[in-house]
Amino acid sequence: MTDVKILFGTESGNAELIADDIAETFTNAGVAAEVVAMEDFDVADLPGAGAVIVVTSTYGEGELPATTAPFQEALLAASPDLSQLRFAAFGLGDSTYVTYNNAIGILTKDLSGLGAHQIGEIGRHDAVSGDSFTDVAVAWAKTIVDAL
Amino acid sequence: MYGLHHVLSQERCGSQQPADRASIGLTVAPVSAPRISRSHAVIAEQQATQPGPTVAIIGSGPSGCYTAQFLRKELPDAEITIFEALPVPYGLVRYGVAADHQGTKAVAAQFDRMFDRANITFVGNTRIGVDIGFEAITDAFDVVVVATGLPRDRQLSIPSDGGARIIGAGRILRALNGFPDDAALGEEPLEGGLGDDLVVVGHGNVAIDVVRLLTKPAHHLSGSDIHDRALELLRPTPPKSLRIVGRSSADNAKWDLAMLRELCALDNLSVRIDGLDESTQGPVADLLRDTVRGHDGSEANAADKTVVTFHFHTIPAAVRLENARTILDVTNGLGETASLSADAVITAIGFCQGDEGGDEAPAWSGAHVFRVGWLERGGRGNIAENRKHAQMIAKSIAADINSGHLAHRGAGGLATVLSQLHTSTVDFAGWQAIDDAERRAADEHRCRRKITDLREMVNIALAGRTANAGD
Repeated sequence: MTDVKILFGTESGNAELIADDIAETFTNAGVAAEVVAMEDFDVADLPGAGAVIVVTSTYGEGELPATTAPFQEALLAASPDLSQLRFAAFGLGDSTYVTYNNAIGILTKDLSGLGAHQIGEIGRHDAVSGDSFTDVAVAWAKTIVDAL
Repeated sequence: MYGLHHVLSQERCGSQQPADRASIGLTVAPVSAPRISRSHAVIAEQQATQPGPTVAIIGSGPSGCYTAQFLRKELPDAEITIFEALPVPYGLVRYGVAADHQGTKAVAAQFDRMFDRANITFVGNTRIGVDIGFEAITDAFDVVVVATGLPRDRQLSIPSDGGARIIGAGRILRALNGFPDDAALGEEPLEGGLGDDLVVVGHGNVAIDVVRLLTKPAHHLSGSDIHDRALELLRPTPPKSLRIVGRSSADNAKWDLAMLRELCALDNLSVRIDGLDESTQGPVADLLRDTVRGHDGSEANAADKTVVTFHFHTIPAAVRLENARTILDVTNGLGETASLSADAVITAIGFCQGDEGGDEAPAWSGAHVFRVGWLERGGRGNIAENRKHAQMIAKSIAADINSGHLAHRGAGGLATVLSQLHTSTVDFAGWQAIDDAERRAADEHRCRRKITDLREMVNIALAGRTANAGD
């Protein structure tokens, strides 16, 4: 099986830290995983990727971070057939905002809209919770890895 | 926070000799303590076999740490050391970001991981220019990155009476973040309450942070790591009135809409507006009008509330002292004037290097010296923006090294420098001991209780080292 690609979009680097934690959880469970920045990933590679994880935070007024936005725009512009793709999604947000964790919802809808099959529930880290990124990411990743 | 201004003021004023400061820890560390920390000694050994270029980063705030992160990706073999003047890392993440914005402070988790796993060395309690000369660093390292930030609040450049009470917002936020008094050389600790009537000059996020922390009901600060002694001192009770004054219009104010929304959601404020045209459009104008409308008719409860008035198109002209009150004279775009009377004027108009010569950049430079973050960008940009800058600088450094444009001189790096330092440098394990102590000292309403005494920080950091001396 090809490596599961864990794609992250971030502005502060927190989504990358979570992507690293998810990769480590997968690797420990015997699933090869590779962390890739969204700005370094070509959406043309999505249809044949097998399974991917997408990780993004939400910014400003519910927007996608500067490195997630181009990925999402490229995705919508190319509109590839993702019916062979399985994906899971994890979002970072702050529930003091009404647009809490908006970006991962947008990305999930776009991927599903192109035919991709979602695995599991959207994972969410809430900045207000005081929970560590790692604790939340690892707990969520464990619910996903068995389905890969 | 230390910045070059601290260095210059020491040299000019001759206050507290470096030897005094370097001896923090010496007088209490047991005689058997190792000369340098074990992890620093290990690095010295590794350097003998290290093939990569040597990098020194001065300053462990977000810009310095992000630069290290990106450099580690670009240069897997480089020896990377981050020097920090304080015994504790992370700069404005720890002492600038507001205490009730713990989500924003959580970037520190990335930097902790970096020190723990990415083979990047933290050397704290080490002031470049005081404990060791800048030239010693440029001689010993192939690349030097200066990430020292801007330690001072920019001052109003208008006539001001001596004795008028003008206080920088950065200074207030530092105090509420538990910044050690001993580290703030040249600044007397803030004494007594700020007062019941305040004027804040500035229309950016820092102005909103100060207003929010000075007015937020105490029970809403639960879960934060605010320094309670400073909070009690500066605002024993929230102020009665607070004016936020700036020259911008509502639609070009620099604050983030989300910050304004958060402030307007406080239920103990009565919001007013001055200088907002009927015709002004936009999300800020809408938010403020909605907030004001929501507060109409609740005058009955005004006694419990802080009246917060937003002033737009309002330009400071002079600060006067009159009958123990501080008066801010202002004009608007139409030549009309007004005088705002207060117990203190708080300035939130940006940051700078020092109070002599305004924005004079420090003299630290060289062919292999790079500047990153607020120092380079005039104090502009939030954490994410400075991360981008750090990424750019790191890529540029890596390109120069890989092209041979930057010489890999094999200059010795950290091992060369360690032998010149005092014995109380703080390593990452020392910071972890301080971090741990702060979290354990917290009560149910606080996520940590910061240590505010430099000596205590160093003692905790060194105590762990002694315990490991027998390894």
